[in-house]
Amino acid sequence: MSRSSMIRTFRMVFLLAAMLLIAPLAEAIVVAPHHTFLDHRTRSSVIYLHNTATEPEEVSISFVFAYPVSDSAGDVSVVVVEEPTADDPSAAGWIRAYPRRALVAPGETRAVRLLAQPPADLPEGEYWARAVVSSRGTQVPLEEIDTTEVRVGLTLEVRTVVPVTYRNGDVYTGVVFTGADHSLVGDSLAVKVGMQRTGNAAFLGTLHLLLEDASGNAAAEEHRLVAVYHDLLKKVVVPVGDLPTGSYTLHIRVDTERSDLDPANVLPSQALETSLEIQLP
Amino acid sequence: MRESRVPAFLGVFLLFCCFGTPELQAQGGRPGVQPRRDLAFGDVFAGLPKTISPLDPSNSGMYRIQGRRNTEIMLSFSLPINLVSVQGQTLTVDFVFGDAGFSQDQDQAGATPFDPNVPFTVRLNPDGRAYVWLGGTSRPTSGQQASYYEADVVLTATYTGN
Repeated sequence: MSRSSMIRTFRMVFLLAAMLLIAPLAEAIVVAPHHTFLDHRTRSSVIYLHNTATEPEEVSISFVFAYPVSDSAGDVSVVVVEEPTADDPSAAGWIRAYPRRALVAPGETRAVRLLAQPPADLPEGEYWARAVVSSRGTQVPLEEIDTTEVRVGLTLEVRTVVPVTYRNGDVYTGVVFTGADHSLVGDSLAVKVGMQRTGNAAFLGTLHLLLEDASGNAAAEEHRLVAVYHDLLKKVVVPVGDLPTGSYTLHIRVDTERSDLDPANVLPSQALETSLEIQLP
Repeated sequence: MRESRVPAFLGVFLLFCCFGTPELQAQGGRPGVQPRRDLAFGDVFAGLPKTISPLDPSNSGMYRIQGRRNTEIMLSFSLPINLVSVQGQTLTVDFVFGDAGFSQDQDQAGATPFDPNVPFTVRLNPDGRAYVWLGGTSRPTSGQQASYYEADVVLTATYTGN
C-alpha cells in the first residue's frame, strides 16, 4: 500500500470513528458560552449557537432579568423579575442581540453579537440579565395532516437560558456565612450552608465540603458551584452510608475557584471556612 | 514533510472529536435542550378523555438536556390549556403531578415524577446529560369536531449557576 493510500485509509477510518463518536452527542441548538460577560469598555460580546440536529432550527434571542434564589429547604431556582425596579441591577432592558432571530442550518454555527447600550449615567457596579435562546424545528404544514378524525398533537419548543453579566468600573464581591447545619436523611448527610453576598457583584465560586474522621482522614467530599447574587441557602447531599459509626468533622469552605469560567471573569475574594461536628450513627 | 500529515490530521480529529467546534469549546460549556419526540395523543374519540403517561415509550414527549457535568438546571414548562384546530375550534388538555418525569440517564421507567406546572430543579449527570418525558390528558367533548388540534409546549432550561 502506498503512503498516500495509507493516509486516505487513515482519514476514512478516523472520519467514520468521528461520526460514530459524535452522533450520540447530537443535540438541537447548543449555546456557548454558558455565562457571558460584558464590560463597560467594550460593551459587546459574542455567543455561539450551533445546530447539530438534522433539521434547520428557528432561533430567537431575548433577555430577562433573573437571578438564582433558594427556599428554606436549600433548593435553588431562578426567579424572573418581569418588571425590574430602579433598584434592581438589571441589564435586560439595554442589552440587544444581533441578529435577534436566525434560521440555523444543520451543522451551522452562528455567532450572535451582544451589544450593550446602558444609560449614560450608569453607576459603577454589576448588572445582570439572562439570555433566553428559543429554538424550534421547522414545522410540518397543516395541509399535509389528515383531518378526517379528531387528532391531537403537541409541538415541543425549547428555551435555553444562560446568565449574562455586565460590569462597570470597580466591582468586587465576597460572601459571609449566615448559617450551616446538617441532618441525616437515609444513608446521606444533607448539609445546608447559608451565604450572603457582600460587595457590589455576584459571588461566583465553589463550595467544598470535606468530611474527616476522628483521625483526620478524609471520609467523603463534595464540591458544588455556587452563584450568590443576594442570599443563597445551598443544600448538598453527602453519601455516608458506607462510613462507620463515629465522630466526624465537616469542613466547609467557599472560594472563588470556578473551573467552568475564564479566570479573567471570576472576581477574586478571600476564601471562607467553617466546620461542623457530626456524629454518624 | 509528508510525515507530518497524519499527526496533523490526528490532531484536528482529536480536537474535533473531544471538544466539538473550536469556537464552542473555547467558550466553555455547551448548554442545550433537544426535543427528541413530540407528545402525541394520536386519534382520540369524542367524549372520551385520553391520557398519555410520561412512561409511554412511544407517545410521550421526550427531551434530552445537556450541559456541563453536574450542572444544576431549573426546568419549567409552559403548557397549553386548549389545543386549537385550523378552524379555530378548541380541545382541552391538562397536566397534573406525575405527568412529567426526569432521569439523569435514559431510564424512562425509573424516571422521577414531577408536576410540569411547577418549576423543577435538577442536576445533570457526570456526563452532562439528563432526560425529561412529558405526558398529559386530552379531553375532547362529546361534540368534538374532527380536525387536527395542536398547540406548543415550551420547555425552558435555566442554568442556575449552581
